[in-house]
Amino acid sequence: MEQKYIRNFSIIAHIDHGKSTLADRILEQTNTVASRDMVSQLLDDMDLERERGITIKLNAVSLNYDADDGHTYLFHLIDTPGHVDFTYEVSRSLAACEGAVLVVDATQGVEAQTLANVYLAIDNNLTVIPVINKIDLPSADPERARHEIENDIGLDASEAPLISAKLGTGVHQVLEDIVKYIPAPQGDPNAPLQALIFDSYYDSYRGVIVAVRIKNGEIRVGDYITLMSNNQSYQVTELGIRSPKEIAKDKLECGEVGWIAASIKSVQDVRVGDTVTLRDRPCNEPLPGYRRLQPMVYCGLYPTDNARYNDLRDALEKLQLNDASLQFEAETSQALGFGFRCGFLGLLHMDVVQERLEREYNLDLIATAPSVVYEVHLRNGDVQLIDNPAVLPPNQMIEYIAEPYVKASIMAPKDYIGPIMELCQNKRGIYQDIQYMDDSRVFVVYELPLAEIVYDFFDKLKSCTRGYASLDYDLIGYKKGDLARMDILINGETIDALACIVHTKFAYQRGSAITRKLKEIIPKQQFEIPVQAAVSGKVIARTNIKAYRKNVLAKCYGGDVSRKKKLLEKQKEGKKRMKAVGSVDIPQEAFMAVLSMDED
Amino acid sequence: MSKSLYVHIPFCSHMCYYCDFAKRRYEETLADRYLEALNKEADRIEQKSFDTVYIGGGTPSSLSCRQLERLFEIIERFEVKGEFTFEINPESFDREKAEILKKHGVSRVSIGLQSFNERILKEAGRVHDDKDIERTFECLDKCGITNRSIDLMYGFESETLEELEKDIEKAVRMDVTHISIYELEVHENTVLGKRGYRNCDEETSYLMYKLIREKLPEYGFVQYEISNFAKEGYQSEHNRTYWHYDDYTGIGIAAAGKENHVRYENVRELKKYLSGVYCEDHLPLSEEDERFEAVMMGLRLIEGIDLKRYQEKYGCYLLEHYSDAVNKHLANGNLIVNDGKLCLSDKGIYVMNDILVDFM
Repeated sequence: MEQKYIRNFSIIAHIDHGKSTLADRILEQTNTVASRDMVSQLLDDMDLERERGITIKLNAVSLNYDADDGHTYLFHLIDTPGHVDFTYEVSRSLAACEGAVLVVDATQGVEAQTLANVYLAIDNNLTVIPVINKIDLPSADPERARHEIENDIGLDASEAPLISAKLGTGVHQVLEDIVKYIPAPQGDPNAPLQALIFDSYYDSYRGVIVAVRIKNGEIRVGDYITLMSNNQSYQVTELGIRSPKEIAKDKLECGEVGWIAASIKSVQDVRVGDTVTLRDRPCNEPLPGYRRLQPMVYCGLYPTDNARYNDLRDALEKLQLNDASLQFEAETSQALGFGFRCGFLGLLHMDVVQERLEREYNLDLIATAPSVVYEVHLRNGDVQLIDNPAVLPPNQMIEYIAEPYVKASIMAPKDYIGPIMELCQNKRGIYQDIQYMDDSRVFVVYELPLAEIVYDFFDKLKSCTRGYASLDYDLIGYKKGDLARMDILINGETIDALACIVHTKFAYQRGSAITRKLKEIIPKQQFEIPVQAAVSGKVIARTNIKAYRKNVLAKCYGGDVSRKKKLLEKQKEGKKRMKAVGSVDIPQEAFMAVLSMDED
Repeated sequence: MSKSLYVHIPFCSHMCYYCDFAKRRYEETLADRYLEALNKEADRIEQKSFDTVYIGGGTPSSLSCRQLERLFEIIERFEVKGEFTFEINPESFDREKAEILKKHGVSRVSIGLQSFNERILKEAGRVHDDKDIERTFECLDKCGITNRSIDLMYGFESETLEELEKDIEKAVRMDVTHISIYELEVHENTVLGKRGYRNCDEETSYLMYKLIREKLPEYGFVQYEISNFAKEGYQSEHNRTYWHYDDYTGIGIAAAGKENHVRYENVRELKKYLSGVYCEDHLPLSEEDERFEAVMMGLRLIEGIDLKRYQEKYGCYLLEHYSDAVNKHLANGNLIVNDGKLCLSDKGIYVMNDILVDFM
């Protein structure tokens, strides 16, 4: 296909603003997928995504569009994940496009997260076409949406199509606008191959399938390719496009988007943002913007049943096949036995992995509270990176501890500015800026320790703004903090999996909150159990779980056997989900107790 | 061979707030139809003789005199060799009904008193008062039914230890041979459950049960099961069938039975039952099911489980088959082996569920 008939674009939208619905409608109206074969929201492959309304895995679809000008255009629609954990991946899929369709919900207007992605698109020099969706709803206010797109984002929205992706209204105009406004690729077909990797997934028969955008040159079946970040070479066994099913081709040309199979064994070797070139005719330089992803959040994952350690390892390995950003290594906890320290891009990523392990691999897991990576500066000048509070060196060896900070941008109606600032202050935030976006909304910027975000910041933010605020954050580096490890002792025993690193100013507060929470979570047992929080060997908070004294079925006659047995089975099941630490049975939730605390 | 027969009469003149049994407000024509359906179900029971029979509910005494006569006519096809119990509630009992019971060989009545405390009776949705109780006992006296058990409840949200003690003192002064005393269980599908009613706290419940276990024996009511106390010679023969995990037959709506390694429960919907569908729920019991259930039921008896009898019946030696659980709880003093029997210790009685869970 000649480049002038190619259009590569993404759809940018806030969750629920109709991105997937619009994608479905585009597939339908270009006859890529017959209406009768439509599964609603085709681009979201995994159940989990569909359930949570988020897109995790990227996907690209090629489609032919017969435009009003009489020409047939090749569209590549590149999907982007929709959460802050995946900002880097979003930026790489945007880098594979020349343009983006911005979908704004006419009932909701512009949201903070939309802003973040639009700015990413603008940073990547994309042409952005705003589209106002859901005009069929009674509460739609297209004029307000138009006003917001112009004032908040600074895009001309005077020509923005008013559409209803659900009903298909206005979708034709969107397709025409894509042809008209989004530039055609401008690559050099004769230059050495430069292809941008924006996604990959594992196929058990063919190895890793790499999603690429050909920036310059072309690639053919049989070519030897080199991945520039690690200089590994492979021979292309198969390549093609998706529409949305895979269609094999013999070459991918300049400007096109497609997939490559080259018997690559591990997703770990294929890094999003990396450049593919030809082994025998390499390009001079990789494409800009490649970054090796580092996990931001770590937690321990342990099987409730120790016998399933190997199953957990197998499951993690399988997940890793498709998720290069998931890291794990074996670790041992005195309290929890054998498990894995796992690294994630963020909290959502962590939740998703955990849920998939439990759901798809039928594992019962105990997750320890997430931790960020601390920089521990030792007296002897060494610096250690610590992602597990339990292994923090002894206090007397430590000069100071530094922790990662993020720049957090919060957008909310201006009535909530007070509670938001109070919350940020309480979470050790450093005030940066407040911008009034219009007469009703503000944009609050704080520097916050990532650890606070990992704790309960988001929940608190939602509750203090009645769900109206949205949050976006970027890592900005490490700052020295007055930090120390807090140990939790249950029945006199230090539970390593419950250790956490706290700011000393908040230690007492957090210590009493955790002990209180544990008292709620740990069921009464046949003896009294003291629960203590200690910093540097000094107990700073303490509570007791009283012994329970009675647990017996009052009535059990001939008609009661089945039901009463079920009750006992339930108790047994509950016990199974607990971890016996010493003589105390601790339920799984306890290991997350440090997360959900009311410190008030 | 079933040892015992249970007959369920689902009708009540009044609904108690805590009750989750199969029950229906009493209506004369409905009760007539029910008795005819019961008759048909009874026709299908091949066994003609039982050691004990128990007519429970619901409130069997809510039936009219004519219907009671019909009920006994239905039951009389079976020979009752021993204890013959009939459940009554004070608000729906009178002299005439007492005479019918006596005439048809009822040897024991179980009276649903629940409490003597007016406030608690109100919370429980009970409608009888002291006068009803007095009248009930007079009727029983006059027709000579002297083997009487009363049901009591404790553990209401607002109940205090002092109130319970008063209840106990009133109960032991009644002319009764047997007291069943249960902690209130709040079930979801009851009025209490729907109102979000709660039990008293666990500590109070413990102290109440402790008080009960101390007080009742002082008046000659010896504890022989978790919730049952009897004067010497008056333990409930029928209920011992359940705790011995022997076979029993059940007829009537929602009645349960266990015969030849199968447990069954009759349908709960009256309409279905009237249309001649009696039972849709048969659960074959595996060897392990029976071994466990025999422990679950048997340990409820204070005397415990006869190890030799257990081995004969279930083909394994209990102490060995459940050695982990047994050893753990012998070591911590929750279980005792004494005189060839495995039983709960005084301490183990309070935490029986924890013990059983380890047998699962």
